[in-house]
Parts: sequence; C-alpha cells; structure tokens
Amino acid sequence: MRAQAKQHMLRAGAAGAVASLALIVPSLAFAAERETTGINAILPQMDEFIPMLVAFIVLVIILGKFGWPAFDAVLKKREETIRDSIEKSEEARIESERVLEQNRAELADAKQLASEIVSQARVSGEAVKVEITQKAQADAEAMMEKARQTIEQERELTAAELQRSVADLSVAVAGRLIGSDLTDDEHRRLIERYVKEAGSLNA
Amino acid sequence: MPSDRSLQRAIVATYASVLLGEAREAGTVFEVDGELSAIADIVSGNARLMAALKDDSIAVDARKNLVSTVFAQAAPAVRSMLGLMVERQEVGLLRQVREEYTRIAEEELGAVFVTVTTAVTLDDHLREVINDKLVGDFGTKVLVRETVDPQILGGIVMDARGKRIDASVRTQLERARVALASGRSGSEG
Repeated sequence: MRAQAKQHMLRAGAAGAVASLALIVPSLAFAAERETTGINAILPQMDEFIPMLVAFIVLVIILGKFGWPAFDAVLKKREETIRDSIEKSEEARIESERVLEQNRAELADAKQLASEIVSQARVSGEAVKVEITQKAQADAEAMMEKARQTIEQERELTAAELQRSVADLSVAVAGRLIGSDLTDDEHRRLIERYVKEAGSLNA
Repeated sequence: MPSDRSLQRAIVATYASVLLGEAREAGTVFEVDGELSAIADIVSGNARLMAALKDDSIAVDARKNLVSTVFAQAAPAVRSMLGLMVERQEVGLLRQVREEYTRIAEEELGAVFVTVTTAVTLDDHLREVINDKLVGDFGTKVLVRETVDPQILGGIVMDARGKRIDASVRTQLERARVALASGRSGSEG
C-alpha cells in the first residue's frame, strides 16, 4: 500500500515539476524585459500571472486527483494500522492483566492450600504423636501392673512359706516344752481331761 | 496261698480257734490278743520282714527260726502258730487271723478289748476313770491293755475293735501346725 502511494506521489510530483518548469521558462524569458519599479515589483503582471494561474490550477487538479487520494489513503492506512496496533496492544494489556490477576488468584489459592495441608499435617502429626504416647503409656502401665501382680503373688507365696516355717517351729517348741516340762501328775491330769472330753469309742 | 475266699476264711478261723484254745488253757487269752496284735502290726508294717518270711529261696527252718528269734517274748502258742504259717506260706493271713482271734476271744471273755496308750504310766484313779468311760461306751465289761509311749508327748490314745480315739498331744500339735501353716482359718485351738 505504501509503495503504491509512494509511486502515486512520485508521479504526481514529477508531473507537477514538469508543468512548473514548462511554465517557468517563458516567465524567465519575460522577466528580462519587464520594468521593476516601485509597487510594480510586487504586483503580478497579467501576461505572467494567468499562465501561472493556469499552471497552478492544472497542478492542483493533478495533485488533487492523483496525489491527494494516494496520500490520504496512505495516511488513512497508517491511521488504521496505528489504531489496530493500539487496539491490539490494549487487548493484549487487558489480557495480560487478566492473566496476571488469574495467576495472583491461583497463587493465593495455592498458598492457602499449602498452609491448610501444613496445618492438617501438623494436626495429624500431633494426633499420631498423642496416640503413640498414649499407647506407650498404656503398655507401660500394663507392664507395671503385671509386675505388680507378680510381685504380689511372690509376696504371698513367701508369706505362706514363712507362715509354714513359723508354724513348724512353734509346734516343735511347744512339743518339746510339753514333753519335757510337764510332770507325771500334770500329764495324768491332762489325760483325765481328755478321757472325759473324748467321744465314744463305740461310735 | 489259697485263693478261694471261703477256704481262706476257714483257714483263718482254724488258726484263731486253735490259738484261742491254747491261750484259754494257759489263761492268757487277753494277753495273747495283745501279742498277736503287736506281731501283726510289726510284720505288716515291715516289708523286708514280710518278704523274708515269704521267701522260698530261704530254708523253711531258717525262716521259722527268724520268727522265733524276733518274737522271742511272745507266748509259745503264738510262736508255734507263726512257724506253722511260715511253713504253709500263709503269713499274709496274719492280719485276718488277728482280727478273728480278737472277735472270738472277746466273745469268750464277754468283754471288749481296749488298748490305751499314754506318755506316762497310769495311776489307779486314771484307770478307774478310763474304765468307767469305756464301760459307758460299750455297755459291757472292758479289758484294758496299757502301753506307755513317750512319743505321743502327752494325752491318750484308745483303740478298740478297729476304732481309735486320738487325744494325744502330738496329734493336736500336728493339727495346730497345719492350721497355723494354712493361716486362712484362724480357729483358736
């Protein structure tokens, strides 16, 4: 598009230049003859002015027909292009902001999730710790209870043994005392008592 | 050894009655009962003696000699009966013979035979007390055989017709010992 516009412009320019040259030449020829005094220096002379005007008008027409549309088209194209670019970049910006926002949101979510997981793990870790501790305590108590029972049993056994020994000893001593310490008469009194207390031999 | 029971009973009865006859003549019916009891207890309580008396590999005369020697203090009638039993390998019947003898002897004398064991000798008062008690128990005349055995430590043991009253101090101490050792029942003895 731009190449075409350029070409139009070059053509129009060339045409304009040629036209100007063609018109200037005769005016240069005339310039040598004219009187250039006072205000007449500035004011245009009719025999110069009208060809120039005609040339100018022709130039304007040519430019208007070829040059300006091309130029305009080019400008318009540029404007469009720029507008498109602006729009696109705006869209891109919006899109990127949206994505950024989304990412932020996701990050926040992820952080939340992570902290939840961590706190859950902590809780369950605590729970496991508590469970293990309790079990260990229960085991220890059970062991202690068993040990207590064993000790108690052994204590009872020992006590029973001791009791037997005491009984044996006491009776042995009593026997010796009775056997040797009672006089015959005391024996006889004992015998009499037993005979009277005894049941029937004819039972 | 005769296996037929009625035959056995007949043999036992014969031994007993023969012995009773001889004891009656000697007037030692009651004493013989005592000796017979003692011998029966010794022989059945001593496995080696019993085995020796039954041992075929030992000559009969040697075994009869053994009996005579061990029970030298017994009445001759008893010893000769024992010798006969050894000869006939009927020593195992001794216990039954003794029981049968006691039965017919008690019948003969119209009394119950009682063995009384004490740690010290009895005095007359005690004899009276014991006699009264036993007559009260059996309702008949009672013949008492006295034994002194310090091992019972004190008190009295009375045996008659296979029954026993054990009021010895030794037994009571044993009972106390058991009660003390068990500890649960705190019955004051």
